[in-house]
Amino acid sequence: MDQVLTGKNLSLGYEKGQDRKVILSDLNFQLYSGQLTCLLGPNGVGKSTLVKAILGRIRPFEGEIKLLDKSPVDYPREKLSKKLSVVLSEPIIPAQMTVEQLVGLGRTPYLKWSGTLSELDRKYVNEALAATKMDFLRKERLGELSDGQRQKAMIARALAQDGKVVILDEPTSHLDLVNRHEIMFLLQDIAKNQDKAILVVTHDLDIAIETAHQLWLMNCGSPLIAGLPEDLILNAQINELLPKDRFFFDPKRGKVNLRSEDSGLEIQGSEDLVFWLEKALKKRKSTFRTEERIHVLENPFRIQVGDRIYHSIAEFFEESQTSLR
Amino acid sequence: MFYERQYTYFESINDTNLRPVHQIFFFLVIVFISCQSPKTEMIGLETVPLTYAKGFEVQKGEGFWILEVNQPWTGADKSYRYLILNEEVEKPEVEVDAVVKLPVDRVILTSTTQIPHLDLLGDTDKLIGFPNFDLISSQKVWGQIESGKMTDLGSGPSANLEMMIDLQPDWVMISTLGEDLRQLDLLGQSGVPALINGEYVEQHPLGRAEWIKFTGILLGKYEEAVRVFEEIEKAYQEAESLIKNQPNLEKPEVLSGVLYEDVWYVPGADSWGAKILQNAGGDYVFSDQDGSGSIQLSYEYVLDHAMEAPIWIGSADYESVEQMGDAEPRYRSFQAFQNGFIYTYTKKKGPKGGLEYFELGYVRPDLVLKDLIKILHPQLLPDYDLYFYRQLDEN
Amino acid sequence: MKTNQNAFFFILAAVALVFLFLINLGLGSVSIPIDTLLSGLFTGEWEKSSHREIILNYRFPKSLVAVMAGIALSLSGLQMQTFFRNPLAGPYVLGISSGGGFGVAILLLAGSFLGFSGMVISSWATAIAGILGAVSVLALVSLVAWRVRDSMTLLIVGIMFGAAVSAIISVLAFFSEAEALKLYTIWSMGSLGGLGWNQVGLLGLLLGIGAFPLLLATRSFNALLLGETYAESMGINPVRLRWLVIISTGILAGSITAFCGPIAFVGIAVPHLARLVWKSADHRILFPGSALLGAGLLLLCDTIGQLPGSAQTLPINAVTSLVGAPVVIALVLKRNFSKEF
Repeated sequence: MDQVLTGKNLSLGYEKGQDRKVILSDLNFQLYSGQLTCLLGPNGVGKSTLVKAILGRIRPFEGEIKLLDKSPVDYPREKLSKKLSVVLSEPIIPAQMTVEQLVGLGRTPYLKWSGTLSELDRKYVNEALAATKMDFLRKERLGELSDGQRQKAMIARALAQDGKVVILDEPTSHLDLVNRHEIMFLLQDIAKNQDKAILVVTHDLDIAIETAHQLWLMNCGSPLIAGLPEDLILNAQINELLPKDRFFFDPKRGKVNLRSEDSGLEIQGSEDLVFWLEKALKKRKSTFRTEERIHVLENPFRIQVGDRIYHSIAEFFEESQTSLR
Repeated sequence: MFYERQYTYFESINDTNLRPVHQIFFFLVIVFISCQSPKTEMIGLETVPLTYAKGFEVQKGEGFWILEVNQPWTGADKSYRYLILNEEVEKPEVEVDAVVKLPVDRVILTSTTQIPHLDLLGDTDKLIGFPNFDLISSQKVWGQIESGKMTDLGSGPSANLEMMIDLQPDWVMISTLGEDLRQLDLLGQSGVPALINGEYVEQHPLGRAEWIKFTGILLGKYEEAVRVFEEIEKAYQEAESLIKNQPNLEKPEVLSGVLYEDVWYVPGADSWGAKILQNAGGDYVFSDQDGSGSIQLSYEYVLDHAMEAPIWIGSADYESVEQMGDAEPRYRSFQAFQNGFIYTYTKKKGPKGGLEYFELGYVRPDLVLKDLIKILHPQLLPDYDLYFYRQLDEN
Repeated sequence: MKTNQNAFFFILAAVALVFLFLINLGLGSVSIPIDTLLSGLFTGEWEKSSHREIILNYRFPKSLVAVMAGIALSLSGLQMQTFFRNPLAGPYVLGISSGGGFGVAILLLAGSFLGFSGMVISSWATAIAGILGAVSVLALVSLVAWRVRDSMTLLIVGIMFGAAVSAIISVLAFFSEAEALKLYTIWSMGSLGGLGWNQVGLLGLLLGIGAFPLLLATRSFNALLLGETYAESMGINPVRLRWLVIISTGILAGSITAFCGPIAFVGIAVPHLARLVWKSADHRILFPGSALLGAGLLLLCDTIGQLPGSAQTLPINAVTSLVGAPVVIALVLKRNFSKEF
């Protein structure tokens, strides 16, 4: 595990003529190879700006970025492309191209002017296809693939480019749940097995927590918070991502919860069951009141209030509606 | 706009082959607007016969003339009538497109071919305006220009009109393809009689020359015009008979035309130029290509038919054989070129480069004929010097 | 296997090209039977000297010009389509043919203002005027290219330049004499046969110069298929590529326009044909493939335009449009274009 990318006291933004607009300041981070790092933060906070700076498209106002030993801006274009590859969220691809050809394009920085692939190039292509489990689709045309497969093909291309760093900008935003998981696990795998530093910009908190080795949290006005997801959860720093007045991250359940008042009812039963009944009640903002104790039992699931028995929460709500009147 | 009725590479632009769109248009015009002015039969109106010209008719009445132009442009289905009134005569009851009151002192011409009409009738001093002086070769007219009596009407399409109206001439003579008739109306509304001269439509060499009578009537000099024409006619027929009297004369093959891009533009077999060539005892290589204007032929066809023609007549304005070969190296394959027997009509030019052939040629076909006879059969005219044509120099 | 299939089509195309070349040589207004043609070519003995003239000084250069123009136009069309990621782009989107037309218009039409009577126009004069015109527009477009980051903007500016120049040409046409106008109109209909051997040689040289950079940039064009952002991330310099494209297209399309007049459709239709035949987006295949198909197509169009056996001929632009338009329509109907780019 090596420190591949570092940022120190970065101040980033855009200049137009005389006006200088600072988007981010006081940024410090380290990106390690062998790890999957997820960058999270609200829209507009400056994630794209940071990515642009890493790609060498904009020069920092202050501070420094170092990709290996040089600032990205100082790399000649071709050299940079051998260290760093990208995957964007929405692929614009020629429909007639085969998967194999697409992955082959990843070798562009290494090819001669004629564009022909050498033995070595082909080896990288094959390895990339194997790593993304796209081997069996190699002759398929891109227009005929599913969205998930297409995105995997793009990842394979980025792999074939053989850079130490791979940056993905919201790669799963258009994909369904299954694909999202698949791809993030794939990226985690690749980071470990190929000793690459993978940075994924995403909004998908759950999956990020599940798969990432590191999280970078950005929020307006605060410096970048970096750390293991588990650390950030336990020390509640994860809450930086959320509007604190209404949401909080529940470490127990591992998910974002709405802050709201208890129902005021006494509910007895196992922890899990009570939790979910409370949640349903909170959502309905129910004003149901009773002196009686409510029991929640399982095997089979039933709710008992006094001598009344309900077989589902929905049934319970129906009754409670009527009894309220 | 009223532009030059010159010959060009394309001999005459106004041929039936080139404007099918216009023909269709005019056909439709006639279908929808069939209002021809009825011929008014009047007492005392005698028809004056013309010998060769088919494009106009003359009728004489008591103190007036009526000119009817029935071929104002190629493919026209409309005719125009003009009334020419002698001095102090009342206008008779007749529908006409324009009225000219004699005597006239100020006229405007719009084509160089009309200029010799004035010169030959001694009325050069009546000319007050012409578009684009550079084209003029007549010495007499240049005298008129230099003494400041003439206005240059330019060559843009609309400038002409305003200046013409401003000059208030007694009449304006126009040649047209038929697409700018609005201008005619405007002139009429402004009180300027505009007369269409359709001589270019005539294909008989003497037919074109006979239009001098048209101009003559407009100037009040009919008898003069007849005299001038008869001289020309006689000269032409004399020259013609030189050939006719020699039935066994060998007729050399003659090539005419120019190459542009990879297409040849040559005079059709029925055109004015081709007719004179035949009359001069030449065997025109494209005599099987019907048409009275310029026609297009493929490079191959021309090469196949004319490569061995000994003489080339009419090849645009090059200074020398060498210049011609440089401009278009493929001319070099032609025998006429290799032997240097190329003749073109650039011997006489006006002070600003205008070719006299395009000015005098129509009304003096006798000179054109004699030139061609001199080129083709020099032994028949030993004392005659070429007038319009010259042989291209080597360099 | 894919490579074998590709190779097969290449061989087929090459054979077809040779065949079409011979047909183009053999057919024309004057019928020259094939045996006389072949014996003349190989033994130097001809039945009629006019046949020799026709074949050696007219048809042969014309066929070569057709081949060269076909190659030049399809290569520049392909570049434009890939660079601007637009299936309707062609060699003239940067305003080059309008520029060429402008140069020739000044020579032919404004000449009537300035009093060229007698019209001594040589084919070199129109070629030079065409080149100067094309180069001027190209320079203007380059100026814009320098200042503008986005390729789409460049495309639109190029098209607008073309439109503006055409408007100026209309004004010149309005004021010119009928004869001059006809000359200009004829020029604008295109002509493959108007060149002598010297000019053919020059055109060949220009073709080589214009096409050579494409060889060196094949991998860049392939990378560009994913868009400029990805291409940049793979080490391609889009600015340098832009200049290459402008200069290459300028030379290729500009010289053809200057020597032969504008020739429509070939540049747009042929790259699509090539994509259809070889079913590939790889420029290693598309560049040579388009070149072969373009040459063959133009030979075919020229042969048709010669109206073999008749004394008249059709201008090449009319034939390429008549042949090209249905081809483009068929292509569009057959495949869903929006996915392609």
